[in-house]
Amino acid sequence: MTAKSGSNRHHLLALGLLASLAACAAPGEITTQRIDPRNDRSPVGMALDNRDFEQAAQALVRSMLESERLPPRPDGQPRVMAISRITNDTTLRINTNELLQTIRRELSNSGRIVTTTAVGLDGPSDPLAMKARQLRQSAEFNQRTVAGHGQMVAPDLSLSGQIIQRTTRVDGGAQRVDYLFQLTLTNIRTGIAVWEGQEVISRIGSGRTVTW
Amino acid sequence: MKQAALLGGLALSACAAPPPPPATSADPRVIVTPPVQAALGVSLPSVTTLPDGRLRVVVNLQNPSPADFPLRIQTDWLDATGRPLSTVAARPQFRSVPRSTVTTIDADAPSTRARDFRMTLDIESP
Repeated sequence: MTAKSGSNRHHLLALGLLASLAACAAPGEITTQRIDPRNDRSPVGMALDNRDFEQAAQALVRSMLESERLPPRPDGQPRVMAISRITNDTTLRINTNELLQTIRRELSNSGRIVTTTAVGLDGPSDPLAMKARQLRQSAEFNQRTVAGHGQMVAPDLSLSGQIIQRTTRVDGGAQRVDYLFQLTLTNIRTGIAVWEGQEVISRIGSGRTVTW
Repeated sequence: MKQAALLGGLALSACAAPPPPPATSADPRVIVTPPVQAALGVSLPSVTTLPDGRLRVVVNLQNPSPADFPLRIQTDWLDATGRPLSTVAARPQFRSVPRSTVTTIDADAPSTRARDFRMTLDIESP
């Protein structure tokens, strides 16, 4: 009888301990959730996230399409843009493609500007277009289906730019971070910038936060 | 005497009905959530066609309050069948509507495929 009641007491004690542990853990714990990018209301940090790249791309594409200095080609075909150097001058590790891919897609969908992947600053972003020309020497391929000479379209626009970060201390020990997205479209024939745009995304937050 | 008049004036102003809420857009294409409706006046949207054939929507927001209003704007662009176009232009935008003034918000369609729009105005949650 005594042994049984002792065992029961141990069980109860263990149960109570477990319950109190669970109660301690529950409030501060963050559960993993899916985020719908179209309805993302999650908190922001001092660094850049996907929403910022989309906002910057949205504003820059809009400004580009508004520009009257980017008319279609005389034959009605869209202008052809090549990607030049995009510099990341921030403390963040940024893959600039996050910004560029959105811009390219939006411009392409607009029907005004398309992007060539056959010409790039460090070689073509898709080398297969040029490599596929080697099939001209192969008897295994129907030569009418192989890309012929003079079919590629040269770019007439070049897109370059940079992402800049400026961090400043403000009153009360807070920190302000400005991210500047600057892009330039240059007419390759003339070397003249036909469009320039800047979108600034700013944050103010705790001075103890780091931005990398 | 002066004090009594002042007190009387104060009492009268306290009895007066609160100012009516700002007028709100009646266009079903502009969806205004209750917190925005309570705080801002929303004009009817002005829809124009740009020289390149794309649509542009302009809406004026009036913020009569003494505080800035954090606004979240989302504009869906619909094709001829009423289906939303997949575009970054449909992603939510954050705007702060300054106090005691009128702010113009506008949105351009991403392409000429967009035939209609749906704009949602909501408060930006902190």
